[in-house]
Amino acid sequence: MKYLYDLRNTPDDNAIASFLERAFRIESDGVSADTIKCFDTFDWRLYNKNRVLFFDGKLWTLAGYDDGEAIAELKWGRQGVYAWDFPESSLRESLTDILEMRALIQLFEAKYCTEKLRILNEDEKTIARLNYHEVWIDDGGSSQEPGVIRQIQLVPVRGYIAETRDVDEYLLQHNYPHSVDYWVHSALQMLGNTPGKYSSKLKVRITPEMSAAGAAREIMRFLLSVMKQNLPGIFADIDTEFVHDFRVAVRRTRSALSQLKKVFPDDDTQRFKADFAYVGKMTNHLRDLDVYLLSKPEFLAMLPDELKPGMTPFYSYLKRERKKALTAVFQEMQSEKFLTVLQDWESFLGKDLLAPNASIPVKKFADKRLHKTWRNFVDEGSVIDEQSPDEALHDLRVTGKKLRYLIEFFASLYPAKEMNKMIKSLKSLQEHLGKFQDLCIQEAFLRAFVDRYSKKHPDAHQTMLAMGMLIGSFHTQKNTIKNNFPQYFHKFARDDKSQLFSGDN
Amino acid sequence: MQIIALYHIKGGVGKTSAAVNLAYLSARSGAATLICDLDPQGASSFCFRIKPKFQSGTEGFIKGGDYLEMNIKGTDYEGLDLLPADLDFRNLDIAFENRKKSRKRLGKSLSSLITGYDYVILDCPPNITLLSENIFNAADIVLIPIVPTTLSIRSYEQLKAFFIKNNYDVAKISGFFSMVERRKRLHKDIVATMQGQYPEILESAIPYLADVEKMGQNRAPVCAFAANSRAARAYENLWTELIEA
Repeated sequence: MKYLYDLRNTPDDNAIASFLERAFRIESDGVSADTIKCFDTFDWRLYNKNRVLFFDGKLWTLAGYDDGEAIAELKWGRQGVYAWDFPESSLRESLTDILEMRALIQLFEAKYCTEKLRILNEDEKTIARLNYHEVWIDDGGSSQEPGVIRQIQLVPVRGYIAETRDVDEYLLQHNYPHSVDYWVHSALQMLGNTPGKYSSKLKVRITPEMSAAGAAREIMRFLLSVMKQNLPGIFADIDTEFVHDFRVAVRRTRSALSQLKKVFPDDDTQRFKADFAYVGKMTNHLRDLDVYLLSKPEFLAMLPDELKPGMTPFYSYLKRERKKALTAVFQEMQSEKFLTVLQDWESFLGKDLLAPNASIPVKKFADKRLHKTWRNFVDEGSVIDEQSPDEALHDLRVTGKKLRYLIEFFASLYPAKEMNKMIKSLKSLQEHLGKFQDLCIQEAFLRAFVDRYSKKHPDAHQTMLAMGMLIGSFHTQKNTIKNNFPQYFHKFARDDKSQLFSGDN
Repeated sequence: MQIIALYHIKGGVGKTSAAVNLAYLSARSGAATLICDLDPQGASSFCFRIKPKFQSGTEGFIKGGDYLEMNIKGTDYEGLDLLPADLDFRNLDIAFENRKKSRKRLGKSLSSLITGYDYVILDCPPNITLLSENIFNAADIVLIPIVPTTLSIRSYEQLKAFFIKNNYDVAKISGFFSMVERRKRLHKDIVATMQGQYPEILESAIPYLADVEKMGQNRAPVCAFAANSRAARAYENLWTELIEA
């Protein structure tokens, strides 16, 4: 139960204390005024976990989004961007779990005034707390007056719940209705911001009566909007995930272009396939470098302490390279070629063009594609054993990815429970394949670095030893995955889901 | 969770005043804190204006878990909860006696608290009984207020001897001087001698001050109603030294 009350329609906004005094003993702990900043990540990770982060210049507070209840506090006067910027504390621990590698972005800044009241019993013991919040939201000039939110929050004291209920009843009786939301939500609404509005997850609703081309356009439009929404964050280099989400949207677009066969005219399909291959390639190097930089703690953990300093040249190299790669991405993203691709693609998606599969019902189309890709995946996977070459696992990963994207595109056409289960089990299998692929690439990357670096610094034994240990560890991990893979695959394939795509649903 | 027991074999040595103020200071520093009023007289409950009533009886107290949780009350101070005393607590000894592992029940019962506390402060009754032995097992620190008199030195030594004889961890014992009157020559001498002799005795001492006496009147920790007083500063120093030690 959250005891929040709106004061929007109540006439005596400023007289809450004197109003309560008519029925209760009240003690004021004073009024405090501050400027408060409110944060979340671009993809609303805090909001999605019902959290919000405040900073008043001295104190960081992680609180419940829906009730403002403080979950962790940290006295720290500096502005943190990533979870790892914060000093060791329970606040940092909670942020690390939720934010992972994402940066904090300021949602708004507000002038904030709170009066803290305590409600006392006959022994003058506090039996409930009551916070009166007044928040002035400045929307940056789009309206003349800053918006004001007034809210009362009744905070129960442990062991005095009956007394809290009495206060609650009194407020309700006197025209202080319960608020639906904590003031932060009202503030965001006032600013025209919708929490949770961005998500990289494919949120497209395809219905069975849609045409295959119509559904394809719907999916592609969503993916294009994800690409576009991430561009400002890429240019501002806020965190690594803008590039990552952009790349995933490009990859899904490319997969859709090649898998949703003949829903668009052939010439156009060929052209955009080439265009998005170019767009995808643009960020390859940058993403690789980001991945190595992000896995720094993981790599260092694999090494004994005395070899850790040996990694310094590697990370200095990565940082220098990343700077160059980022500049290259900026240039490419401002190029005529790139902007034309996006514009042409957008206008293409607005057109309804003739193609062999364009007008067939999407359900029929999806059944066929999914059935076939599922069979291919199972056939390919079931012949893999410890002796198979690395390439067999790579190829299977590619087919698996195709299957996963197809499932995600068309999930809304099938029973949600079954599809979620399937996505989940496919995802866990793909994680092994993805890890295997990463290990292969990392091994090659480290080898290439060693080749170059050892020529210039033949005496850098510590660095060579560290690299050697990592490569050795990658190799062991690869073998473990390969040896266990038949077992993983058997677990995945033991219940055949292909009947889901037989057209009977 | 760290358990700090304020203990002395006799009463009137400043146990409750220390327990109440240290618990308050712990919560003020941001640590989730619980003060357990184990003394049937309920002095620390009184200081926090909470009625001395434990609804689950001694049996519930020993069972712990929900039986403890349901009795915990929030104090006037954020982050500080209190487990109130009850006159029935005078029978805790008998209740412990009837259980297996009768000397380890308190630790078990406290560790069953679902709510995570960083510090649990025990305000213990003055005597040496089965309950006290449970406290010696459960606590991480057994903190002894020592009034600087010759008799106090004797009872401090007796307690240490009791610990050794009964295989309790003597390293848990720590002490501080309480109700120190600077004008009394004897007090000064004893403080100086004992601090040299017992390294576990903390340097911060609590002077004999009227503000401490006023806690009963104000029903609040002196650190709360007279935050800038000498008494409040003395408790602050004691808390800092204790947790840094």
